[in-house]
Amino acid sequence: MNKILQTSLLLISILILKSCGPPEFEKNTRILAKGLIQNQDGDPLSEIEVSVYTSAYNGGFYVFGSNQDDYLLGNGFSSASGLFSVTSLFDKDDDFYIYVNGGDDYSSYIYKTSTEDYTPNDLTFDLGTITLEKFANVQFQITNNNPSETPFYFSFTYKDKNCLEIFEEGVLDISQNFCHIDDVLGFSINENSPQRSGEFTTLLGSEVTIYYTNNDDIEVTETILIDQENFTYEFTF
Amino acid sequence: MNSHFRNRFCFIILLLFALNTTFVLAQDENESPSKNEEVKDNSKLKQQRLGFLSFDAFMPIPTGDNFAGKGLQGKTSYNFKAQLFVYKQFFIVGAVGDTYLKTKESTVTGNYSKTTVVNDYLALGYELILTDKTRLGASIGVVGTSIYKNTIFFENNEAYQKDYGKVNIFDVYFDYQLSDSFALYFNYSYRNDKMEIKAPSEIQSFFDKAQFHNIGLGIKLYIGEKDLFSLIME
Repeated sequence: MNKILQTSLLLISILILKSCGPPEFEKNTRILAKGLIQNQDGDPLSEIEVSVYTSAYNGGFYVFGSNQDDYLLGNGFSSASGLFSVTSLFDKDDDFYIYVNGGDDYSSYIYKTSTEDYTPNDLTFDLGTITLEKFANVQFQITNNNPSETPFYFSFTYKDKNCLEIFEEGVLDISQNFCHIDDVLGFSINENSPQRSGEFTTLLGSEVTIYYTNNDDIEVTETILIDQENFTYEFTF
Repeated sequence: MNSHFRNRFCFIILLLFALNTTFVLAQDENESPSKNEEVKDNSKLKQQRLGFLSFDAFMPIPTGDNFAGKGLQGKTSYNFKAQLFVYKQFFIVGAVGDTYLKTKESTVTGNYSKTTVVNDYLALGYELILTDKTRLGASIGVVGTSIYKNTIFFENNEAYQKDYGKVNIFDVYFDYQLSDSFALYFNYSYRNDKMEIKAPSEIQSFFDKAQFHNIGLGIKLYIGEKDLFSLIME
């Protein structure tokens, strides 16, 4: 019995020690992440950072660098012609990412795939043409001049500024669409807070759907086109 | 046990054998008064030796159009060597050492901060005795392995990745003997590691080899008075 216990403890210790060691990435291997980056008008975008990560996913894609399992395997920048070719290490993992960082002015793009059982042809991830959308900042002010005890609901539905695409063995999985998905910003206006102001970031040239209930409790839906980088929206009941 | 560890194990055995031989020969010398007198009376240093053990610190200078030449920078590194004169001045030399490198351009190498290369090789060479105190030797590697351990630091996390290669080396050394047993030496070597890295076809040639100029200084401990062939024939 003692021997079994000792053997078990030894095996557990070995397993713990093994799992505590730093991860090892694929030996004797380099990959390329290639593609072309352009804006919505088809003009090339230069100096856009492209990074290859492994185990980076933790439920959202604004959080690179904050996950303790993140590892940067390679990075580089697009050239004047918008082309990029990033030399990187490789890792076989369920969460393998290529992150195109549009910075403060453009949307970001993420190519996510599992490399657990997949190695791309010629060790090259060809992302093709990636369009980064110009950001627009929407500032809004909503005022209700006839506040009543009944709260009024108001919401903006707008395009998220980032695009995440999931690929299975090099093919886009259209059943999982996280590319510029709809974000909703909603709030209530009542007699205690008759005015609401704020801002959000969306894509230049995109449409924002406004939904509210008016004083007669009738639902109203409107659409506005965001045609300026700094867009101001004011609404008064 | 992989081939690298096997090689290193064999080399350590070789070193122990050489050390053992040193002590045996040293004892022989102590037991022979005539030889001691010869050393005292004659300022000329012994010429034919069985071999030597050496330690050198060297600076690797990555060169060429490859990932090492374009992406890595050398740091002070070291080698242990054991050299055996098989017949007269013809010798076989074995070396184990670590080469330390840091990444200066990770966009061409992949993202890692530093590399420690564990390298072992066997080489064949010839030595010229220039003067009483100076020797010039040259060797060329016949077999050798190198393991590049690349360390990744990211957001306080550490990971690693390994690349394997085969050592091709040409080495020259110049000895200045301080005494019968010790010498200081300068050495230069050109090393061309043939790498096993698989990369996309358009950058494959960039990862096929890693080339270095190595410039080093070291100390040697000489062993014995006869070459191996003479020792066996006695």
